[in-house]
Amino acid sequence: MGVETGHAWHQLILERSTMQTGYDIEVAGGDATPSETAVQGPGPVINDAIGRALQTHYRVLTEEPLPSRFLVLLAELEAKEARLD
Amino acid sequence: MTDEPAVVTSEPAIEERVIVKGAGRTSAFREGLVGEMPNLRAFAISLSGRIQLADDLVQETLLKAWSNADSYQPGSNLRAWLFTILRNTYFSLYRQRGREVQDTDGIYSQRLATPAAQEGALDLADFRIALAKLPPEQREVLIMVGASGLTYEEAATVCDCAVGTVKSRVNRARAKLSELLGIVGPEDLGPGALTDAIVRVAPSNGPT
Repeated sequence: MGVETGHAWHQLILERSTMQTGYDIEVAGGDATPSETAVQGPGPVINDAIGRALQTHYRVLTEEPLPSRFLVLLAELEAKEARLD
Repeated sequence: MTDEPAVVTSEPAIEERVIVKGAGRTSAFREGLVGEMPNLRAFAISLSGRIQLADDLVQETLLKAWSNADSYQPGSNLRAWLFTILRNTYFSLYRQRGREVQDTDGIYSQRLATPAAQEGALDLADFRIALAKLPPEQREVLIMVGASGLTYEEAATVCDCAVGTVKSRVNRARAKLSELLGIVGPEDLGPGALTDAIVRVAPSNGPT
């Protein structure tokens, strides 16, 4: 991402852009290439819908059963450490 | 992050790992690892888009966390520390193998539970396909600050970048998602979306 080079002036523009919460149809739906102006996100209603979908997506993943191998691994690591005693 | 473990690109057997005894591996640390497993796995699946790869990433992260327990500062955010290890492991793989470690078709979503969509809510399967199409550096920050509970500052630490960079990536990710999902205005979200967004009552407990 060429625009994330971290120049101070650039960061300032990014910060200012993110403070705007206005509705920007051109950014949300257009084919504009990424640029400083595209840093502004979609409007609050769309952000809200995306935010809820994101949380549902993540919550469903955290509720999936865990593979047993993770706990097996920890048990093996603990057992190995115990043998060092 | 100075406490970042060295990148391990293959998986040596546990017996081959040099593990110094003691070094921060308290029972609280172990319980913390166990408690963070669901979040680690959710982050790994979101990031990589592949369940098998995600589970390997979690496994590797747990190993590195155990081996480097002494570099974890008790009281600091364990989730952020573990996410740092996991995303660095993923991106080192990503740099080596490129698209091979990314599932842009969102095939993994077919193996996951998909609750019925609420009125005015985005379809989860569609959402996951769109999420998988985001550039990984946008996807990771969106998941971190939008779902996993990390602050912008913590996400910036995890990514080793400026807070402003995290914010701009999050906004770019949202804009790209809305474009991929074809939503340019509230009317594209279906009836009720606008009032839902304004009223915002019990978002996850709607009628079924």
